[in-house]
Amino acid sequence: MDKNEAIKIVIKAVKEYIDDESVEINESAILLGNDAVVDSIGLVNLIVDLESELAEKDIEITLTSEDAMSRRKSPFRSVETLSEYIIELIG
Amino acid sequence: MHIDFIKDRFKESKNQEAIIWNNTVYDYNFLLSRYDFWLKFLQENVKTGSVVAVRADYNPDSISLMLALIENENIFVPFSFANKDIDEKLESAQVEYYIKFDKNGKFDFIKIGIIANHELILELRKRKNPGVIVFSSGSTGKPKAALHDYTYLLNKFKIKRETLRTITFLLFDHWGGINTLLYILSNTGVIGVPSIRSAEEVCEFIEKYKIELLPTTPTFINLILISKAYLKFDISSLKVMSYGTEMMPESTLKAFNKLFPDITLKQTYGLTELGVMRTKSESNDSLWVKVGGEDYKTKVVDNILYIKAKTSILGYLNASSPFDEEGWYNTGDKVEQKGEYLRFLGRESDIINVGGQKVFPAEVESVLMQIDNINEASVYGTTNPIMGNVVAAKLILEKEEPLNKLKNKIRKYCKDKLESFKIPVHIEIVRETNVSDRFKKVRN
Repeated sequence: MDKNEAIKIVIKAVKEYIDDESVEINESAILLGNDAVVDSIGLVNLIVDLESELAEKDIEITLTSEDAMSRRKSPFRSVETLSEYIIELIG
Repeated sequence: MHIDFIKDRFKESKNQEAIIWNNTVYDYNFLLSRYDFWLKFLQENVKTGSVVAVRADYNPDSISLMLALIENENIFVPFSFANKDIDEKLESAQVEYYIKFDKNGKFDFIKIGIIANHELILELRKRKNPGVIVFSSGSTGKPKAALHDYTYLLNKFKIKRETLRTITFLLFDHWGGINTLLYILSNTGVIGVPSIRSAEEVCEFIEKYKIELLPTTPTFINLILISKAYLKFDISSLKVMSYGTEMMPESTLKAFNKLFPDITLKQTYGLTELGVMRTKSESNDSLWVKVGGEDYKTKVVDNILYIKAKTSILGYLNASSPFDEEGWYNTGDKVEQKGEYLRFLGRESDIINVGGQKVFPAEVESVLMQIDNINEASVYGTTNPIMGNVVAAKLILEKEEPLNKLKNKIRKYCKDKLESFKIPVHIEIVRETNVSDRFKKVRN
């Protein structure tokens, strides 16, 4: 899987969760903090959705590891950073 | 002496139906003859005031034996076939004799070799009163052996009242079940014991024996609705269905009222430590109830219900007293208040804490069960590194549906009915959810 493919999967998951056509989602969409397109429980849902979506493609990864939580810069900041993190975990 | 008034009533009604067991109807005359047998048996084999455990289902012998134990001033420890940790309970209740029935009504008599000398047991013996020990499940830790003075309960039934033809749904070891049983016996009503406790069997039994009252659980009411057993059997003889012991989902309540407008649903509230209280619902489809009666006082502190009762237990044999200095008992039930009415939100121990916000499983289950194609929902908490816990649900569907589609449908439906942290994050489709031997929901 390359980064573009990961971005597509993340965007699709965000769109499905938000379920609002009027909100434009691209790779720079923010997922954490005041400008985020989802609230914290939304992010939790998004992560669970992504894990099960990837599992269907036989990619078994855990996005909320201790490593992810303790990084100085959270991998959950934006669609782009989350996609990069997925690629990193797949290795 | 203790049960003279019950015996007199039995004699007055000796040709009336008393109990329907194993497809046979026994009359009060039969119960009287079994009572005489058991009283003689106890007088010959068991000391007055000793602790006697009985494992049984409701049957003519176990019921007569229970009455004989009262008369002989014994302390009665009921077990049902659902009990799995009997050895431990025999020990904590200081059981001296054990009468063990099999499912056909045959019995073994076992002398345990323990001498009961707990101070509460000695206190009861000093009063020369019969007792009952029932186990309080509690949310954590060991089951607690709660000792009641039987005479309090008997006094309640000295005034004669109307009875309905009733199924004994609660098991033999349940305090609420013993209350119902003594109520029916002291008013010489009819007790029905269905052989297998599935929705179909129970509905068939209701049709066959024209049952009027089914004391049950919300989970079982839901099983009746799902199984559609009411289409196969005529249950129109039912007048009242009572429920207690767990939360009633609003969806079940409404669906039931729509299908059976002539059956009154009655919520009861009982605790092993205190007894069964009278309740009055605001209306048939309302979850708001008045709890109490002349023997009970209630107060609500921090949304937790506290009760003070005239007829509470003497105490636990294997734990410290559950009452505070003024005699108040913390029920552990979270409630909302509206004037005199209360609405039960759930057990404090069932609450899911999502990032510091509280979620009651029953509330979420009730919304989920309104959704098309969802027959049954069981909601629980599962750990999550971000929120601490998140809400998860196991669902039984009417017909197959892809998980993704279902998840989206649930989110859409719940969006304006539940706050976002209450909407399940994890969804699992299952064939059956866990229901205990007592038809209560097991959430995990």
